[in-house]
Amino acid sequence: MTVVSLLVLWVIAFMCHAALWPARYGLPVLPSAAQSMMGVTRFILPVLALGLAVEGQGSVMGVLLWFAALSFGGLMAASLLVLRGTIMREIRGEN
Amino acid sequence: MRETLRTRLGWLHGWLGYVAGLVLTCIFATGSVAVFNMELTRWMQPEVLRAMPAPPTATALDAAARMVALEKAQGVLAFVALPGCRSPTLDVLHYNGHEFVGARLDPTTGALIPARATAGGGLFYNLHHTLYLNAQMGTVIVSIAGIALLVAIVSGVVIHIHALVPDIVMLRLSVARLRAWLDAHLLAGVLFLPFMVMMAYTGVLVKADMTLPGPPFHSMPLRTSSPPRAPMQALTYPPLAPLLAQARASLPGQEPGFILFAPNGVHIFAGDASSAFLTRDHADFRMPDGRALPVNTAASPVARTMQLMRGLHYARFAPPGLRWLYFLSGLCATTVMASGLVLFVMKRRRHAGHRQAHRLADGLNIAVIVGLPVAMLALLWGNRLVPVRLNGRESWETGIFFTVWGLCALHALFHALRGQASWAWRAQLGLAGLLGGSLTILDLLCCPAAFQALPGLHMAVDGMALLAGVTAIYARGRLERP
Repeated sequence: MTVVSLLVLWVIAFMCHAALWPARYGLPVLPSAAQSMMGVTRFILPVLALGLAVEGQGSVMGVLLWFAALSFGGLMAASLLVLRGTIMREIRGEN
Repeated sequence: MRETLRTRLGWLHGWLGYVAGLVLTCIFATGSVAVFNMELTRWMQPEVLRAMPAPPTATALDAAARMVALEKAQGVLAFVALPGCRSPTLDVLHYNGHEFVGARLDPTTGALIPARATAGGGLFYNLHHTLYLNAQMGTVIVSIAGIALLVAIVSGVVIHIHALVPDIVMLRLSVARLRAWLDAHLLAGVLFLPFMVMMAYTGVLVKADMTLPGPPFHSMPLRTSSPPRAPMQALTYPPLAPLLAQARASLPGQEPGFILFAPNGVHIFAGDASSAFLTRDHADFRMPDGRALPVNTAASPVARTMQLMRGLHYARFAPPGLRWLYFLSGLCATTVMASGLVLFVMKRRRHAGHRQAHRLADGLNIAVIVGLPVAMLALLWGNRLVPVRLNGRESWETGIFFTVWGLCALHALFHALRGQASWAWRAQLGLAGLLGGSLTILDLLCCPAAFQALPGLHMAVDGMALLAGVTAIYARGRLERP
């Protein structure tokens, strides 16, 4: 359960990160208020995940799981962004 | 100035990465599989049908001690490995110069289980640590490769520093092929950077006593060279069950893992799965009366740090979930290195594609990236097909592995040097697909009872082989696209 929670937190943090670089990731530009919120979320969620991991699994296991969730969460976020890009291209192709 | 530094580091990253990458891909691939070395050995010994470990009875322990004494009389230094979550049998093992092999006993009755002799997961473990070479030389080569990896990582980070954070989840599969490969290399390289640094750093550090001159940090009690063959005086040991109970009390929080027998005493060591710190704490008993000697579990901060380094690298403390994460992270790190090898060749194809050196590099890439997985799958096939009672069966399995890998390498080099590397890629990927995809059928046909007794284990191994096969077929399909 902890691993799943950590993964979800990291994926959200990475998606917020992508939203802060809209040109690079081909995402819509957000208003500045939303951008600030994304920036704070991107910072808060990994810290929250670290607390959750260490609290639930102890320091060694917690830190290992936190880094593993970073790695696999990043892969999942990248896959989601690729999927989104493919869908958007197909929609544009249909138009 | 900064651009000059980046250019030079780019050269270093490319060339050092390529040369070390050939070895590192093998080290990481076999290391990832070796995370499940004991589970693989169980899969490769389908005669052992016990699913859950049971505490060893006094009868079984005494049977094991008798077997140790008998082996000692023949000049073989054996020890007893106690049942645990990963291996439910009571094992009497010895080091044969490459791996730990020996008899498996039922922990309840002490009866010998007629399990087939196998190279087991120990082959991958040995390849990972010593490349199946002489222990000293192999360890030095692996350690140098580990240091090269750390240098390649640092140079890679400096080259990519500007885009490191912004592009952390960037993957563009729809762009040009070279760019897509580079994106995949960077994505996995950056995301799995903590894992790769941890494994390279701890790997170099735990073997530093064999690489660097000077007094060893810590001597591993089980690592000996090939056993002396001179017959020794047979000894009788005191009953082990009471000693085990005393050892359990002397090593609080740590479950006993194995028993070593010395001429003047019996040493019961804490199991490696006890904690993230691989302590090797032990309770000692004097021979022949079995009197307990004082136990010292105190460790200096340096020793404690080294225990953690060993624990993190060997991951024997890891529960199944974390073990899977180690395995998957290892595969992703292997992908980083394999994609680096492919990129090295792709980048130079336009200018140097006609040169024999370039073709040689292409051939070596195929031998490492596809040939090694084909050989791994062939080993699993060999385990099911080599007759169970064949003499020196484990050597046959090892022979199959290296022969198939050697043939794959020759095939790859033959075609690559003639400028037909893509043909070799397709043929070997097809073979990997065939071997991986049909292993489940072979397993079901050869060992239905084991599949029924341990469905989780067999589905996991067969499933991973199937996944490898499907991936190979998919990659083969992608290669055929323009």
